Amino acid sequence: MRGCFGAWISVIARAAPLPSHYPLPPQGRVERGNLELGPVRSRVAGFTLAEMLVAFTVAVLLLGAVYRVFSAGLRAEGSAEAYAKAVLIAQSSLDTLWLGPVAEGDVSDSVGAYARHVSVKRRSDLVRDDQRRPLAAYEMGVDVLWRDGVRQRQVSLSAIRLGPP
Amino acid sequence: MSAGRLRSAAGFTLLELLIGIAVLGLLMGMLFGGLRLASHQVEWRTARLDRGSRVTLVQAFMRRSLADARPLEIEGSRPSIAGPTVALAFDGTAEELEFVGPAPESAESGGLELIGLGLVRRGAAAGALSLRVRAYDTGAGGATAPLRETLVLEGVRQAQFAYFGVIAGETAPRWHESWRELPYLPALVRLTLTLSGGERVPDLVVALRLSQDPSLWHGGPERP
Repeated sequence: MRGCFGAWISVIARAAPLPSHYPLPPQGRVERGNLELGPVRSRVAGFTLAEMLVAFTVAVLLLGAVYRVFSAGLRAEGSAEAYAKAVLIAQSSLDTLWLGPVAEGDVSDSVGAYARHVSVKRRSDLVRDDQRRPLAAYEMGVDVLWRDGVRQRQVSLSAIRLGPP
Repeated sequence: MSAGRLRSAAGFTLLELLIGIAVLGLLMGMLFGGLRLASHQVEWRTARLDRGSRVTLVQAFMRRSLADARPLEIEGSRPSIAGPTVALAFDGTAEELEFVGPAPESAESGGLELIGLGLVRRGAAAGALSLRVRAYDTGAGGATAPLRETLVLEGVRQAQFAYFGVIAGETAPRWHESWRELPYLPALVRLTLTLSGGERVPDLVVALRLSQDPSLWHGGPERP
């Protein structure tokens, strides 16, 4: 039992640098995985408790690292979902701006956990003044902001619409 | 090899072994607890991601089809002294919506299709959003074309449509619960979805490009 136990511990223990003054087993020859029974078995050097604890610690650290990577993946997935929702909100908000007479100005409100800023402003640089065809260009912008952990994230959509000046 | 030497060379004492086993047991317990938690989380997150992407897909599809909804005239069912009334092939209630729009690319047929969307109930708290598509043929009324029904979103508790526009007699546009047998399209269509877990999906609001000219409205700007 100790033989096979020692075999997998040794794989982990080998990865961890041990100090040079670390006590070597009393026997010069170290045999691992020796399946012979009887007196030869007693010559297989075992691990001390300290060695085992070091090995366990290293194993736990490695597992902890794996778990960290794993949870980072989950977090990334969560922020992707939040992003997709924000885009849906922004698209729907932008669509309502195509309606009716143009009303310039800024409006801020909140949709669930998201903050929304809607702005409509005239872009006189885009359409030339023409008395025969009175048209003005308006830039409609929607910003959706939300908090993802400590970070502030944002989705912005904008479109140009023609309307009466 | 003396007995004393052997003891110092070989293995653990009982106490050491017990401590070792105890530490190992503790670590294993933590490991399995962590793994179980992790696998639950993965399962839950995957389901959420799957549903989230389906919601996005359904909204994208509805946005594209509804924005291109066609104001095709059909004969209305309401009797009138002046003869048959004219209505559009757009039938919207709070629970269901039917309109004529461009065929989805997957149909490979091109042309126009009669597209219906509504909730199929399966008990009080569960249902599925069902999409019904049939090739639109003005001559035969489309009745002969095969109907294709797809459940596009499972786990929906409630699906509610609303229609923004002016109905005869009103001075300002507002949200309506239904839009039936009217000679023009609504300006906006809204779909509010509540999922089985009680989660609210962001409302889908689509501006119909071929609706009545909004600048003809009386009453001035009133945003929804």
